[in-house]
Amino acid sequence: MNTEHDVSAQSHLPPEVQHLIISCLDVKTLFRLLLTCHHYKHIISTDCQHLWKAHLDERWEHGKLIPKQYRDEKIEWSRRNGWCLHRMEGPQLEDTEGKDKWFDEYLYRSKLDTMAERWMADIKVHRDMRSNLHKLLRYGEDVYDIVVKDFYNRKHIVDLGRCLAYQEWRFIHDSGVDTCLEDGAVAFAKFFTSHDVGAMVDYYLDEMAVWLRKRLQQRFGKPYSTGSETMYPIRDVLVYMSYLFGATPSNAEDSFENPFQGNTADYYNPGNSLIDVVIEERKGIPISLAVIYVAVVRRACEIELDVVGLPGHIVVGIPEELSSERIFVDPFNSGRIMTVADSREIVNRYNVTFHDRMLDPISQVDVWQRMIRNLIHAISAPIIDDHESSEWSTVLPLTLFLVDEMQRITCFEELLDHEHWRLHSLDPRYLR
Amino acid sequence: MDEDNTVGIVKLVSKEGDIFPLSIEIAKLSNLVVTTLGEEEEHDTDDEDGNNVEIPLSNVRSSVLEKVVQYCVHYSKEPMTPITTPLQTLDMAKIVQKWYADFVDVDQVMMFELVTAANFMDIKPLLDLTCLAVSFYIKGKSADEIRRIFNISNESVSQQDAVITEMSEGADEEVV
Repeated sequence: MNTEHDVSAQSHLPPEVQHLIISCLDVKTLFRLLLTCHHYKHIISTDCQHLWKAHLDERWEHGKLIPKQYRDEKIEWSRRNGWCLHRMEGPQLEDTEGKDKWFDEYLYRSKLDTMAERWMADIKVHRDMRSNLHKLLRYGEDVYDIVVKDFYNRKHIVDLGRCLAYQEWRFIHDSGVDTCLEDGAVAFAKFFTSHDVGAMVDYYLDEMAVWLRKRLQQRFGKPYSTGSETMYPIRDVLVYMSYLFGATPSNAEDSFENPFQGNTADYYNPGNSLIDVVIEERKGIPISLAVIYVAVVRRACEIELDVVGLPGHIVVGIPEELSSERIFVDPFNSGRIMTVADSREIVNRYNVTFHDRMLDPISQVDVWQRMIRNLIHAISAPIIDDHESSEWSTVLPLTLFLVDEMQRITCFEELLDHEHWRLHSLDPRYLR
Repeated sequence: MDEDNTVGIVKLVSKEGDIFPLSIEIAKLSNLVVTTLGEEEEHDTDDEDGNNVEIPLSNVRSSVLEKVVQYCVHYSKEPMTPITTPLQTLDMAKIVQKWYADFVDVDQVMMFELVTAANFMDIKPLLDLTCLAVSFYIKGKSADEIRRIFNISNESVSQQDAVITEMSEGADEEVV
């Protein structure tokens, strides 16, 4: 059947036809074709990078790259300081955006998957559990997909998520990178979920910021100029913000569909300290509401408001350069605008002698630390006499997020070896 | 000035000299036809000739050209679903309509001749379809078998990376 003519038709496929055929191939056949000769090896491993990018996206959902926020700084910091937020091996994609390295990346990820599968299989039969688990966790996001695929091992996902959350927390504190108030809140919220908290929080904060800016533009048109900065009258900003936090507007058109409120009914619920839960439930405690308040105003107006830690209560402070009179906002109580006298009254209610210094803004780190302490308290209070409670496996690792403990842990290995860093996967309670 | 003149016939001539008449509108699926007609118009000021253009396709055999014509005719009635990569499924009948899936259910020689003809006549959807058919044909075949199909002489490709061998041998866990 094969005449001379037919054979030559097959062996002289033009390059564009070769590319077309290759683009239709599954991964396994691609690798087999690659093994046939140097010509195809070159085409497949060098010329078809876009194809490998598509296959990467198809095969792996997580950890294509470290999430883009602060990505380069994270990788650099992590590599220099003994943390594992970066990839351990494999192509360094940050230099080239991977444009010419997707094939290498595919090989690297495949190899890693094979290793990770082996580690997980060993963990399952309790062989060298500790060292195998540590190996797994050290590869961070790059092994997420494999861990997720093995859905019997939800505890691995929890462990992996927690390790990543802690490292991000440390990055935010230790690297000196410029961070926003909400970044810290997001970092420790990640301790509790493997979902992409950052993206969710960003989405809703931006949505609220857009709502605010729209109201301001309707009212004032373009922001007016004061020297180098442009802004809206601060009082009006605060009034519109109060509608986001549950105040009833005089004009029904200005009402916000789903406003925040203080969770007075369930004040000690741990969720009140987690920014993603607060945004979802629209209920929180003063400090978490203050973080959201400050974030929305910054995103809408490019103004950085202060967080003021009164004894027993947190309010938002308006920096002096923005307002002739010292004013504050109480996001927990419908975003009420307060004077110094009102603040003094709050303090007195707690039987504490008022001091002017109480009205000073507190630092970002202090806000985060207070949130962590609230969280620890909220979870541990109900179980304080129950030493067997499984909640301790959450509380104890959380204590490592406190500044004092942070100073004692200098790298990822030390975290894993810390007696308080309870890994679910190794917890006898969870072992079957 | 009569617009109806454009609905003419083009005569595709195979390697063996067989003539396949086809309406110009349908034949325009081939960019080779479009280009050739364009050139004809430039050179021939005589409008009347537009109806009787012959296009010699000296490297397309009659049996292949017959299939190509079938394809173009069917395409004019039921355009083929465009093929987008990476493929979402490995079921040919889910990627394109049944007629097209059956159309490329041919032996290896015909398949490659169709590829070559589609490429030569520059018929994009037919080229996509036939390349897809080739990719299905080599799927699951060993490197040696693929070498035979593509007529590649047996040269050894040095293997620095064990993963590549592993990937080519590994279990079929890929969805696509």
